[in-house]
This record gives sequence, C-alpha cells and structure tokens, in this order.
Amino acid sequence: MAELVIAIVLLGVVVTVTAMIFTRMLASTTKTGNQTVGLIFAQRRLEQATQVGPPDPSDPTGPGWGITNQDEILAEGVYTPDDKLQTTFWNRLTVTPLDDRNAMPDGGRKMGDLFKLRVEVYWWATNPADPRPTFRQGTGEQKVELETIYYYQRMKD
Amino acid sequence: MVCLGIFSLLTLVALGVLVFGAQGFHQVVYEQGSQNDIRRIMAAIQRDLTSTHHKSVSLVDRDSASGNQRDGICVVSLDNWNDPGNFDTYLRPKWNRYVVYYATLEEKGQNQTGRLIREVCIPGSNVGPYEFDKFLNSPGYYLTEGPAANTIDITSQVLTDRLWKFELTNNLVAQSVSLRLALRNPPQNTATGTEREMHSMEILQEIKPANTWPQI
Repeated sequence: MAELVIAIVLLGVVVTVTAMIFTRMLASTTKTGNQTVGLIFAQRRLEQATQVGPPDPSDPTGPGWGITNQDEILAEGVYTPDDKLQTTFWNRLTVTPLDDRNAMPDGGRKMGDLFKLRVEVYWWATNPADPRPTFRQGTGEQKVELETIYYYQRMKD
Repeated sequence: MVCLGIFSLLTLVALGVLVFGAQGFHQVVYEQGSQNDIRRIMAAIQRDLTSTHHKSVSLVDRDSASGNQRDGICVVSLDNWNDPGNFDTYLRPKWNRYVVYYATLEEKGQNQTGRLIREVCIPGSNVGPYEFDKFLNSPGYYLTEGPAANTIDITSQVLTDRLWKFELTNNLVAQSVSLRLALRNPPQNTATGTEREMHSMEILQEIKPANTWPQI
C-alpha cells in the first residue's frame, strides 16, 4: 500500500511540474511576442516625434514632438496575440532638453538643440494612467522602454 | 478496485497534461515563427524604405475577397550602395532599380492567409526618383499571384506565407509611409476539441525615406 501511495504522489508531482513548465513556456512566448510588438511601437513613436520636432523657441510650452503635454498617454490596439480581441498598447513620450554645452556637436548651441527622447510602451495595465509596469507572476513587467539622443538643427542667434 | 480507479484517473490526468503540452508546444512554435517573420520582414522593409526617395513611393490599394488589406508598394533603390559609380557629382544616388513589396490576394486555409513578396525590378534605363508608372498602371505585370510570372523581375522572395493584412498609407505632408502588418497562424484545437483558436501578431510602423533630396 505504501508503495502505491508513493507512486501516486510521484506521478502527481510529475504531472504538476509538466503542466507548470508548459504554462510558463506559453506565458514566456506571449510576453516575447508583446515585447516585439511594443518595441516596434516605441520605434514608431520616436520616428513620429522626431518628424514633428521640438516646439518653436518663441513658444517653448507650445505643441511639439506630436504631443500636447509631457504626461500625454496614447493608446492603440492591435490583434496580438488574439485575432478577435485587440490588445491595447499604451505609450508615453518624455522629452528632456540636454543643456550640457560640451555635449553639443556645435559646442555652443548656435546651430541647434540636443534632446533626450524616452518612450515607454506598456500593455495589460490595470491603470493605464500609471506608466509603472504591471507585474505578472512568472513573466515580470509588461513594458518596454526605448531612448534616443536627438539633435534638432536650427539656427539661433 | 479502488486502486485501479485511482490509477485510471491519474492516467487520464497525465494524458490530459500531455495533450495540453502538445498544443502549447505547437502554439509556442507558431508564435516564435511569427516573431521571427515580423523581425525579418521589418528589417528588409526598413532598409529599403529608409534608403529610398519619398517621391518614388507608389502604392497600390488592394483587398482580398474577405476584405483584408493586401496592398503593394514600389520604391527606387540601388544595386550596390558601396559603388562610387552609383552616385553623381553631388553624391546623389543614380537610382537603377525598383523594389516592390506586395501581398498576394489568396486566402489559404482557415486562417485565410496569403504571401508577402519582395521583388526587384529593372524596367530599363529610366529609373526614378519619380513613381514607377508601370507598377501603378499594369498590376498584372508586377503583382501576380505567382511571383515567377512577374515581368522584368530579377529576384523575388517570399518573406512569409502566413500574411493576414498588409496595409500601407503614404503621408505626403510628413513624407513618410505608415505600415500595418499582421500575421495569423493556423487554428489549433483546444482542450475540449470543439473550439478553435487562431493566434495573430500585428504591428504598426512608420518609416521616413531618408534620401528625399532634392525635393521634387
């Protein structure tokens, strides 16, 4: 009888571990897929921002970079990984002017300005207004970030 | 008798886990295949569209029978970007070929997918940076269901055979091209065996041709 109990317990453990491995494998692949999509979203957001460029120097608080304010969060839905239900990817662009004169290609900001652009893309968020990453058991945070240094050329006095 | 019952139950559970595992493994293989396809396709499209002249961008708007977008795009390119003979005295590219990306209209299987084709065309001595009029006016020459039948086509390559949507928009003001690309995998049986699920991967991208000079 003892042997039978041990065998049943062992079988149960093997079955449970196997099921967990496959579940984790599926979750991991889904996360990698979302990261791939999120990364392309981030590249697109940076491309759109650099096309628009910074606000006019005469109105530094005016619209620029394709956003109305630094806290603006954009959302777009795509069919990933389900073909009937869209997953929403939120993204937020943060722009920081870099004032280090030594970092300027022209050495004195006469020819343009240097900016740091940072895009955060996240999905499956419980609170979309909060860009802090959502954690999922076994797959970690559901978020990607992309950053670039961008030199915007414009003649200045 | 009790032992036999318990053992039968555990055997059923073990078999269920095996079936679930096999389905999961199939799904993982398909999803990773989609990710690799997306990365490979985007690397090729970004390379060709970034290095081209925006004035040469010409689009053909097409839909499959069930209404999925299956567009085509044609841009100018060079055979060798390292050859100094391919640039004029102002270092402008002397365009010598067109690159075409298009989706076939076929809808194979339950996932209704087609193929994404990349082809290179050399129509003669007069190449860009303007639009390729034969691409726009004679789709039967360059957008056939069998890429080998395309006219004046020196290479053609099937980038994926699980294409669901390929939608392109030319942004004239921003001088960029917006792209929506979606792949869809064949359906997998669920654990109940009655329902079917299809997994897809869709991306949005915007690419700005960087060789748009002189502006025409």
